[in-house]
Amino acid sequence: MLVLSRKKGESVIIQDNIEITILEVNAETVKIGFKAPRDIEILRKEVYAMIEQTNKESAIQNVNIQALKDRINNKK
Amino acid sequence: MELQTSRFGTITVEEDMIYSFSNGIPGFEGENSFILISPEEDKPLSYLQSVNNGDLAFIITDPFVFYPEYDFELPESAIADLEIESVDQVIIQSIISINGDMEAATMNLIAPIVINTNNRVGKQVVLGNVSYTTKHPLFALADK
Repeated sequence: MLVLSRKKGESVIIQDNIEITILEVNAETVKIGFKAPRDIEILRKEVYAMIEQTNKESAIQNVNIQALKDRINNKK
Repeated sequence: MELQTSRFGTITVEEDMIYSFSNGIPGFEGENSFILISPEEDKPLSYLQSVNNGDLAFIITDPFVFYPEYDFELPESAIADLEIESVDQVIIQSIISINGDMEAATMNLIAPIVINTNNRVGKQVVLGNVSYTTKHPLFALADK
């Protein structure tokens, strides 16, 4: 991993068109600004991790599809 | 090709049935090919079956059936990845999660499965800046 020290207000440029700026530094929290083309996906890692986890739980194991269908039809 | 699945038995998969997920989906990054199984009698449920792993399938559904007010803007990155040109070529589905109790079944609204039916590519799109989560109850709200 490349490690750089930056102060508040300083930036890093990646590949000409992605700019990451340190906006605010507090004891535990750093506020970071991103400037990037709209087709670049920027996500909080924990969101991705949560989706990974949910997907793993969602892979069908012994789900009783009939029971699920019955339950859905009951609500109608 | 013949695909042995643990859920649906043996399926004859034709090339034109396959949807390509170039980066897989989160947690299953190596799974790049899926087919949609939508039995008429199972509506509104469908299944996303991996072509490379017969044991891997997901229950999916039309999220708007359960959450009519569900609303989001597709990120530019997804529109570009999927080469989407118009809304009518797009299918939106959500993965259902069931762990034990059927009443506690949930669906993932923060990361819908988005498919472009024209070029047969798909992606689980992670929505940023929305209040949705990975686990919205399927029943509790709908029954009220």
